[in-house]
Amino acid sequence: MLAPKKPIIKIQGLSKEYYTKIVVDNINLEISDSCFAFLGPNGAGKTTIMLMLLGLVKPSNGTPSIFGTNILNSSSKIKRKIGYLPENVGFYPKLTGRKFLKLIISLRNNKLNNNNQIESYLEWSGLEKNYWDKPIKSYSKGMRQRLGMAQAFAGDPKIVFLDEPLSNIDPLGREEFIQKIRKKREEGITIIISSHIILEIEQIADYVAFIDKGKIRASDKISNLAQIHGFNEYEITRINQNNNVTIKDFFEFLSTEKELFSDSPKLLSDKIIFSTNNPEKIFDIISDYPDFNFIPISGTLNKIYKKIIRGELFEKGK
Amino acid sequence: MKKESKAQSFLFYEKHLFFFYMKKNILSVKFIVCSILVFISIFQLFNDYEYRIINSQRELDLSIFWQGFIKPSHIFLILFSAIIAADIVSGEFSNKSAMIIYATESRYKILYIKALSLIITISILALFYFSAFLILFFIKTNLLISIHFYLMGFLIILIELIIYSSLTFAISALTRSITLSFIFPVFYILIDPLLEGFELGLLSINSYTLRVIDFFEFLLFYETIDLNAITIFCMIVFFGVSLLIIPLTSYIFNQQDIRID
Repeated sequence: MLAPKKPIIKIQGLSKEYYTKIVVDNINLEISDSCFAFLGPNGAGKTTIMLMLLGLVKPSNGTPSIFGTNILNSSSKIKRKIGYLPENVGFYPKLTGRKFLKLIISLRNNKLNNNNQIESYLEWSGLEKNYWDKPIKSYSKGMRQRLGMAQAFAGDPKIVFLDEPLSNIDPLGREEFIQKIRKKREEGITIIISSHIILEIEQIADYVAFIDKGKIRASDKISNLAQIHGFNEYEITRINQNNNVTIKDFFEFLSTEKELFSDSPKLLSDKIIFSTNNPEKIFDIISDYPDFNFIPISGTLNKIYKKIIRGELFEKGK
Repeated sequence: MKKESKAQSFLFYEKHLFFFYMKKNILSVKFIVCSILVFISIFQLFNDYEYRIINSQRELDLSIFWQGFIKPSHIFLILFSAIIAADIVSGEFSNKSAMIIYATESRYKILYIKALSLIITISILALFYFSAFLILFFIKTNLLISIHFYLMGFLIILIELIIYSSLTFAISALTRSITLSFIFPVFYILIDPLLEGFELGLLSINSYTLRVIDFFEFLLFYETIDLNAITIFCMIVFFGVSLLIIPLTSYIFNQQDIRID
């Protein structure tokens, strides 16, 4: 439905009721190998959907399946392929960060449980080295969140669920984690994020589903949603410095394809900004340049969100 | 090569989780404190022990069996086993680690591994109590209880402890509250001896235990078998109730949502 690739997660008629309150209402969704975000206001049902996908909450109706297996009947084998960072992450307070990671890795992947692996995840999380062997009860909220991120990706999971992953992390740390999550995505891990912080999601996710009052209001690739809702401003940024093609070279190359743009592309210090009614063609071009990233201009997702969830009207393209 | 064989080792994940919970139980402050209190209770027991002239090994066995194994264990060991079991499941909900752990492994598997680690921990505590009692008794009096009476005493008390700890385990898993998991079993332990007085003997673990003890006492000390319908029922309940509580708890727990907001 959303992507041509075979879906990794399939949700059919998923509903959840608590007493008489419908929290999730008959959701159908397919998620392929991508970075997929659930966006919506507080209490929209994002976390509940995620918990049903993890098998922690039982659906009232419907089936969530991962890798073609109903998660409710799934064995530990499927669960071991899944990493999860809960919104309110908690640990055994007397355990050290190193020992907690050792436990999680040993539950997910019996081949990776050595000290170097554990240290590489701790280092990746940015947790200060002198805290690795201290009890978790001595950690600050930010440190716990970093350890939470480390355990979610530890043990080589194939899918990682992140529920409000950047809460409790300072602004610089957020930027750092956005890059880290993108890097993990490039390594081939399917990432499912739930958040209400749209600006962060915009930088991480390929696909989004807008959830409100337990229903999916819209779900698609961000660029498709932008096009559908009349937001045709895009930007190209250089995400890797692996080859010699600079942003200026790429700008010069794009400038020759004038028919693709509604108005002339503009070169800023680190990005190219332009309007187009033909984003698919630009996607085709950019797919040959993996060092460059093509996304709707910053703030577009926020506008789409407001339009879909709050029904706010925008002048076309603004 | 070595790594490969490790990767394919049988029940790798389960063994790892089991040793994690075992270590958590044994190295916990409450287990250490309970073990020290058990040791203190044995010294207290010697002070209360009624010394009298013992003419035969049978008399000695009976004396130790009733005064050493059965009577005091009802007070301390049961309470300690409930204390050890109280936060075994609810503790993870209190510190919120449950969300990560139950997302990674099957709930049934985790609960059975926890139950097994709990039973082994309680067995270690009971073994410590029985062994320490025997050794101290031998040092003080140069007398030893017969091995089959020792084993019988140990078995009955151990099963009784498992019943109380599995009940606490069930409360811990189903209420997910450490406070309730402590309060309910302690309250039950306090009212248990009174239940029979109110004609509620069917609900009293103590009354089942006494029936079973009576049966084995007659069998081993007097070599007579007193097997009637009530005794058979009590035996089934006594030996089978834990086998019922743990799977039932796991089943109900598996039906519930795991969500900590």
